[in-house]
Amino acid sequence: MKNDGELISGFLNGSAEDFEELVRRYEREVYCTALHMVGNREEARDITQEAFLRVLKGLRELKDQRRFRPWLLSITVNLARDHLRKRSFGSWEDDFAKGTFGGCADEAFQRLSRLQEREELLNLLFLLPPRQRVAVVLRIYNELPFKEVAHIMGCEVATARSLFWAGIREMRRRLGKRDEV
Amino acid sequence: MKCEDFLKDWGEGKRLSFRKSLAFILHWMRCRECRENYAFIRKLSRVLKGEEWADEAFFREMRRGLVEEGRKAGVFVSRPSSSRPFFTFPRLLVPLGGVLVTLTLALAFFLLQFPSKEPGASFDYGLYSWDGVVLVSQLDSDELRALEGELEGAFGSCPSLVYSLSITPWAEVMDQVSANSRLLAPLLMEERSERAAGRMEEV
Repeated sequence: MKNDGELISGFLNGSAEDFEELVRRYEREVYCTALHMVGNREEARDITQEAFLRVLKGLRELKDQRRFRPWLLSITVNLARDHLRKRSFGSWEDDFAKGTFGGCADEAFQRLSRLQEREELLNLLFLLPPRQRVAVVLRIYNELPFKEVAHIMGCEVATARSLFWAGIREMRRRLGKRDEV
Repeated sequence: MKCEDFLKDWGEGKRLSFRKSLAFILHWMRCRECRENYAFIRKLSRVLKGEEWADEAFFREMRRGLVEEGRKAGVFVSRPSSSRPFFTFPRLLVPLGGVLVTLTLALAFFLLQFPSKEPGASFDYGLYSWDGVVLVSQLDSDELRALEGELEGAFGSCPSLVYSLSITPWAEVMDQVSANSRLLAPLLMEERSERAAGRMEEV
């Protein structure tokens, strides 16, 4: 199996197969990152498509090929941020309430016994302010170190760390409140 | 010290030193908040990673669209089919394999058919070795049976001539046959003359 560097080199030499393989390798991660941020399946699809289109156009300019994944994720995060900025903050809550997100998640949820816990945790994630949510998703879903999270978010490492912990504390606080109720 | 400070190195993806690990474990044992934070993060991680909402049809369509877009933009080089050698090794492997299988089957079929032991039937009898086929003699079925008996004596008990010869090294077969040829030749001569005499009597 070729590594990222080899696939990128293949792409730069005009191989469509290598590019396709590169997309196949990261499409799920990009899609899910976008979905965790915007909470809407259709928008997550648009973001995924747009992100790879940017890769297609901009990969030649990427100087360090080892940085492909963080570069791709930063494109995804920026696109997701633009999407969130464009619509009113309430709309994703509406989507969630209408079941857009819940609906698309159903397929996976059916396979899980602890359905309620999953829904609850995702709800809590979507109640976080966008920057905290981005930090939590990049750190927990993408498993990036804080240095990378900070780089993608365009902030200091300490800021990324405090956004992450603020998000975690907030989610736990809300979870605790619900448990008390 | 705040709890999250203990998780700082975990957040950086670093390995903890022995001293830090010890401090971390001691803190961990005492601090409820730290344990709860960690448990919560693990739980959230399972939730975020456990999903499989992306549908393959969309991804397939997206990849196709992207490649098309790249072709339009001239990013991809479309290789003319004539520039690729047709007889590459993997491509040759399939027909060669087919030919080999056919030959093996044909040989197996031939060996299974041979010899037919109908009385009085005459046929070419070959001694088989892994090196090839050598025609020994043209024998009828009685002669063959006699030859079988002789060879059986020479090689020990064997269920069939073809079987015993095919698993015996060719040089050994030739040695044995030549060693027994003196016995074999008169036997065959005798049998032939007896049969000829029998036929004469019938007439």
